[in-house]
This record gives sequence, C-alpha cells and structure tokens, in this order.
Amino acid sequence: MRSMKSRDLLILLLFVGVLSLLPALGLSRYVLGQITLFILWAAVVSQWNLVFGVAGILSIGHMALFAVGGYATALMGLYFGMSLWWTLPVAALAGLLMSLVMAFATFRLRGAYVVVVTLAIAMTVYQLLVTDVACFRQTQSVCYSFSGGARGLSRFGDFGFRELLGYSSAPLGNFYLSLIMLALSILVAIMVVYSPYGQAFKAMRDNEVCAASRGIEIRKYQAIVFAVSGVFTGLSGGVYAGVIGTFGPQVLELSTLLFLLSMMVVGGRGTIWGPVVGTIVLALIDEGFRDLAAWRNTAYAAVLSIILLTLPEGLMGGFASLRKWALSPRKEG
Amino acid sequence: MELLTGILTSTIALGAIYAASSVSLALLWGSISMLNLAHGAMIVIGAYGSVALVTGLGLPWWTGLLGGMIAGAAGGLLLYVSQVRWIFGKANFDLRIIILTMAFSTIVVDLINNLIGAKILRQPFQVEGRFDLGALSIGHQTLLVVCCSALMVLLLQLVVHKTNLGRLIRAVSQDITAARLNGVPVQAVIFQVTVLAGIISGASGVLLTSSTTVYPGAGFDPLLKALIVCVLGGLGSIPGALAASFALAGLETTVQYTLGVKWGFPVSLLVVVLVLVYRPTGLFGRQELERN
Amino acid sequence: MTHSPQHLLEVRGLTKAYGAMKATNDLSFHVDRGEVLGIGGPNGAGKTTLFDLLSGVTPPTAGRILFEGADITGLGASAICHLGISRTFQLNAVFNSQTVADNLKTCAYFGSEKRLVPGLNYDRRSEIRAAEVLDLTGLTDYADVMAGALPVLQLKLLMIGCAIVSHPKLLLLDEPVGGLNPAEIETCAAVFRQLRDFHGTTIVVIEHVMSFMTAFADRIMILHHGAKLHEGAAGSLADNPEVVDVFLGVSGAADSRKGAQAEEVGNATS
Repeated sequence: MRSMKSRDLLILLLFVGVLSLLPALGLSRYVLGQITLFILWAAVVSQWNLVFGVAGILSIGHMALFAVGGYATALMGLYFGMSLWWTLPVAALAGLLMSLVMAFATFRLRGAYVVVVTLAIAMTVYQLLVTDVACFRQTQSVCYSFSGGARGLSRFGDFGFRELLGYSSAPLGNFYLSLIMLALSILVAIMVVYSPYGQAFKAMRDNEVCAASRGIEIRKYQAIVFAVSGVFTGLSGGVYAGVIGTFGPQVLELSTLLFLLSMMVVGGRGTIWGPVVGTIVLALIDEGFRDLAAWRNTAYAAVLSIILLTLPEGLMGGFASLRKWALSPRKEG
Repeated sequence: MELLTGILTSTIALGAIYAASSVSLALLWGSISMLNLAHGAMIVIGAYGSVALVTGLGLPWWTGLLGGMIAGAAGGLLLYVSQVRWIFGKANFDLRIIILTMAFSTIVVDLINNLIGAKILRQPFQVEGRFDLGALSIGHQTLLVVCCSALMVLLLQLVVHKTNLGRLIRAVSQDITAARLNGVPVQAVIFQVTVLAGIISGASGVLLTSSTTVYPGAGFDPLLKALIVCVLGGLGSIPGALAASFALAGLETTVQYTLGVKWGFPVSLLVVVLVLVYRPTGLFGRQELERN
Repeated sequence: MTHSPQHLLEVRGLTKAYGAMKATNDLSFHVDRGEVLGIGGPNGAGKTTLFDLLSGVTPPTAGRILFEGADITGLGASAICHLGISRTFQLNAVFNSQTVADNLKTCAYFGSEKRLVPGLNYDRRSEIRAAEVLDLTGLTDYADVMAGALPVLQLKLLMIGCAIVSHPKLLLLDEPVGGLNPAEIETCAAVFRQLRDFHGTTIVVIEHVMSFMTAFADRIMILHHGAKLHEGAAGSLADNPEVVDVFLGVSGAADSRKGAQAEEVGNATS
C-alpha cells in the first residue's frame, strides 16, 4: 500500500506540474477562466468522494458545505470590507460546522434515508437563501437583502491579484490559487485514503457491522470524514467566491448537484483519480454543448445514465477492475 | 377560532395532497427498494398531460385527471424500459437507481423546457366556487382535490390488498427469491408496479398543480416534500406515508401561520430529523438488521 | 487447567424480545477461561442472536452480561471488541475492497485498542500481529489478493484471522466450518486448536457439524426457542432424549458419540 501511495503522490506532482504550465500556451481569458472553474469543481468533487465514495455515506447535500464556505467569504468581504484572504479560514470553518450538522442529522441513518435528509438540508439552505427578500440595506431606491436572495452577492472584493499582477495577469493569480486548492484537496484525499482513517472509512462502507465488531467506532469516523471534507469543501467555496467574483444560490440548484455528481460517478466513485477524470469528461461535454446550452443538462444526464447502466464503477473504477482481473491469480477448475 | 379552522382546513387540504403525492414513492420503495427521484418528473408529466388533453384537445375539464394518469403511465413505462429493467437485481441497484432517476428527471425537465417552453400554464382540472358554513370556508376545488386524493389512496390500497397484482407485489416485496421460485413473473410485476406508480404520480401532479401553476420545474418541491413525508412515515409503508402526510401538513401549516411561510419547510425538516434520531427508519418503517 | 475464581463470561437471565417473540429467552450460562463451549440447536433457536447480544451488535431487552467480572451489558460493538471479545459471522464478513494484508492490518490496528487519534500510518505492533496471523492462517500467499476474490476456505480463514488479530480473550465463532469439505474443516480446526492450546484463547463455537463440535468443545449447550435445552460434557448429548428428538436425530446422535470418543482417544495418546 505504501508504494501505491507514493505512486499517487507522484502522479499528483506530475499532474499539478503539467497544469501549472498551461498558461504558457497562451490561452484566451475565457479558456483560462473555464479551466480555473473546473479545477475548483474537481477540488470539491475530490472531497465529496471521500464521504460518498470512500466512506459510502450517500450524502447528496455536499453543495451545502460549498455554499456556506462561499457565502462566508462573500458576506465577510461585503460587510466588513476585509481582504478575502482573511475570510478563507472562516470559509473552512463554516464548511466544518455545516458538515457536522449533516453528520449529526444522519448518524443513525443509512442508505436512502441519508440521501433524502442530506438533500433536504441542502434544499432548505437554498430555500432560505432564495426567500431572503427582507430589506437589509438601502441605497437610495434599491433594496438589498442580507444574503442577496436569489441574485446572490457580488462586488465583495477579491484576492488582490489585480494590484499584485496587473489587470491582464489577474486571471493567472486566480488560476494558480485554484490549482493550489486542487492540489491541497487531492493531497488530503491521498493522505486520508492511504491512512488508517481511510481504511476505517472503507471498512465502514464494505461492511458496517463487521467494521464495528473489529473495533471501528462508526459514529466517530462518520463525523471525521464529514469534518475533513467539510473543511476543504468550505475552503473551496471561499476560493470560488473570490475567484469568480459572484456567489449565489445557483450552486445549490439541482442542475449543479447533478453536474458534480456526474463528475464523481462517471470518473469512478471511491477512487482517488475518479473525480479528476470525471471532471475532465464533464468539462469536455460542457464545452461541446456550449452552442446547445439548452440541452447541456440532458447531455450530462445521458452520459451519467450510460455509465451507470454499463460501467457503474465509473471510468477509473472500470480501469482498476481490469487491472485487478489481469493481475489476480487465476483459480483452477 | 378563525385561525384554528383555517389551520385545520389547510391541514386537511395539504395533507391530502401530500398523501396523494407520497404513496407512489412508498409503493415503489416498499415493493422493489427503489427510491424514485423521477417522481417529480412524473408529477410534471401528469400536469402537462392534463393540460394537453383539456386545453390542447378541448375535452371537458374533468378529463384532466385522466390525462394526468395516461401521461404518468407513459412516464412509468419509459422509466422501466430505460432504467429499471436493466439493473434490477444487479449489484448496488439501490444506489444506481437513485442517481439514474435523478438523471431521468433532469432529461424530462429539459425536454419540457425546450419542446413545450417554460411558459407558466394554468391547470384546467378546476372548479370554481366556495362552501361557506359560518366561520368555515372551503373552496370547491379544495374539496375536489381532497376527495380525489382519498379515492386514489383507497384504490391503491384495494389494488395492493385485494387484487392478484397486489398479491404478487407483496410477494416480490417480501422475498424476491422465494417469489421467483414460486413462479412469480418478477420482471412483469416490476413493470406493472412502475407503471402503476407512474399513474399515481401523474394523477397527483394534476391535483397538486390545480391550486398552483404548471411549469417545467413544478415537480421538484412536491418531490422533496414527498421524500420527507415518506422518510418520516417510514420508507415503504403506505399507512406510514398517510399518517406522516397529515402530521407534516399540520406542522407546516401551523408554522406558516405563526412564524411565516418561509419557515414551514425548515421547521418541518428539523422535526423530521429529530424523529429520525430516535427512530432511524421512520415511524412505521421496517427495522432491518443487516449483517452484510 | 486452573480457573480464575470468576468466570470469564457470565450471562444472567438474558432476553431479547422482538415484540411478542423471544429470540433469546431468559438464558443463563457461563464460560471459564481457556475452555471451549459449543452451542448447538435447530435453526431459529437463537444462536446467532445470542452472539449478536454478546458482541454488542444488538442490545438485550433484559438480563446482564459480565465479562471478567465487569458488566458489559448494552455496550456497543467496538467497545466490546476493545475489551477483548471478537466474533466471526455466519455469512462471510470481510472487507471486500481491500487486500488480505490490509484487512488484517486494519483489524489489528483498530481492534487491539481504542484509538483516540489514529495516526497517518499503521504502527509496528499492528504490522507484526497481522504478519503473525497471516502465517497462522496459512494466507501468506494470498497477502495481496483482494478479499472479494478469495476462494471460500481462504475467505473463512481471513474472517477468522481478522477476528483473532486483535488477540481477543474470548472468541465467538459462528458456524465457522459450515459448507466446507472434511479436509477444509481440518484446516480450520488446526487453527482453532492452536488458539486454544498455545494462545489460551477461550472459545465459544456455534456449529451444526456435530462431529467437529463434539471433537473440539469441552462442554456443549443446546438451545431451543431461545432457551437452554441441555448443557453438559460433549459426549453427553446423545444421552439426552430431548436433544436427540429436537435436534440430533438418531444418526446425529451416533455422530456425536463418535466425535466425543475420537477426542478422548486423541487426548489419551497425546
């Protein structure tokens, strides 16, 4: 197992290295922006994968962790006027707290019950945001609600790359910050999965009663996996808010949920690189359907369905199975 | 006093709607362990089916319900043929069907958005007028919806407990291997259950949107509510879904009257989560000790 | 064999009721350090339920369980594991997505002691224990094979290995040799005998294969409808007409006598 961990760490190094050279290709502002966006999605899905794929906890409310992180950054930037760098620890903390809420709500629940409760929690956050229409600030004739309501928040500050690097190079700053976020997210995933923590999560997923009987305290490790993913997902949300410049309840919509879920499932849930592979595939589909924007959701849904029907372990999962089959001792007779 | 009667009538009206829209979920989960997240899509398909029949073809208003049922049946058929049929009985069916039905729902909403348009339509399955008995004032529409819901639930219970199909459904839900060994045509039964669930979802879609409006995303909120109701009642229990429908309707209505409309759902969810802490499989759910 | 003044395991009035049905009905018995207690009985007698109660998988409705004199009634499964009670399951229970070696290391790491803050790597002791058990169960050649791909015998040996790698004081075996052929049964039996003789592990074993059980167990308890039907030395089973009637049958009675005699002969010549 130690060799597999070293292998994955090496792959991470190479992957990040290659990505960091991309701007040298002279990409347009648009393309760089899109890559930045998908880098952040990959960071989120890698963390979601820990809960959903590695630990087998069917939480589909993960975007709520992302949302509270993003809103924490946006709100603090807007109301306290502070540099967004200071808001990032708060974003991580917000993600942690929200994840613990999810953990406690689902401690005794399993399977479909977890799906429903986590979805409902995320949708409640969405609803509360969207119905926030009460006037909090008034400027002349315009009324602004506290959280921005359905339109969300904007003009709450940024990471200061314009001042640091100049206007035309500011997107580079966002790109590299996001890349660091992705590297961090995958690094944490690798460290966790190859550690006793990861073994406990996988044991819980494979056979919970057996895991408990072998000394694994189920609730504790449920809380831990939620907490870890909460910290780094919340942090991703904060980075996203600062990089994109706006943040609204759209991140909690069903289409976004399905988009990210597709990345995880198509790539291969429970694997280290599945989320990244899935993100790349979905990014390509997204680009391919730029002109047919009305059918984009259908495209993701169709690819997701095909994978679930034919290769349920996803692309990386299928690849791993193939390798195992090829390398396993053949049974005689 | 007026507040109380208001809450009571709203509870009955809302409870009836919740009941109508959650029994199909309970049926599918109870019989084949399928959490149908395409239920929202079926609701919408049913609503548009009613509009198509009445507004489109000019048939009398009451055929709207029929239109909903036909459209729902078609939806259920499509769901079976494209998804359920292929992975039922295979590994991880439970999880895969949840995500697959989410995908199905997305495609349906996209289709409606692109082919029919996002224009908000009026549900033609309507009657005008109100009953006024002193302090009590109920719309004819509300009564219609309550009666239709009650009828639907009653018919479903009849099918499940008194017909041959119902017997086969119960056999499949209790022990699928035993059912197979006893010659039950399992795939055929699953097909019929899926279509039946589609019919009920479609009909409930008509009833639901009769007091609101018809638009492509109209199915999502009812789906979420139905999920919460079923989870509270215990996934798979139809009596549980019924009890939970009215309990939740009462709670939500009371909160909406006192704290405000937007707090209805959050408070209900909080209560459901607390109940689940003490009874992890809902009020009437099956307690299964899984050793593997 | 010297016994400590207190029993290792003591069960008093244990009851598990599901509504009106009592899966375990006012059961009382004890197990002494170093002995092997066999539990038999027809299907539905409540044997596995008893194990679920003892291992903390299910809480009892009434009664008490004492381990090394301390009351462990109602404790959770992981807490009971840390106290030194391990079990195997009727349906094979291992972690399918992990290799044999990882299965053993995980069970060694988490089973040996309560981990407040797990590290990022396995400790030396877990690795050593895992290697020992790999050797004891003869699974060394299978160390890097996925548990889900193992043949039946190796699967059972892995499950047993995972249960013993935490060095339990009390081992509960739930139908460990069911479905195996005689050669495979002997392979498992050899492992159990090593545990009993060299490691001093106290064992409680549920089995239907009477020849194995009467050869291996010191005492046997027969359960029926959740209550104790018979308790006594291994050879005494066939002498109890109710046991023969309810459970053994005539040929089974002969088998159990044969098994008990074989064990006596084995003990006399060793």
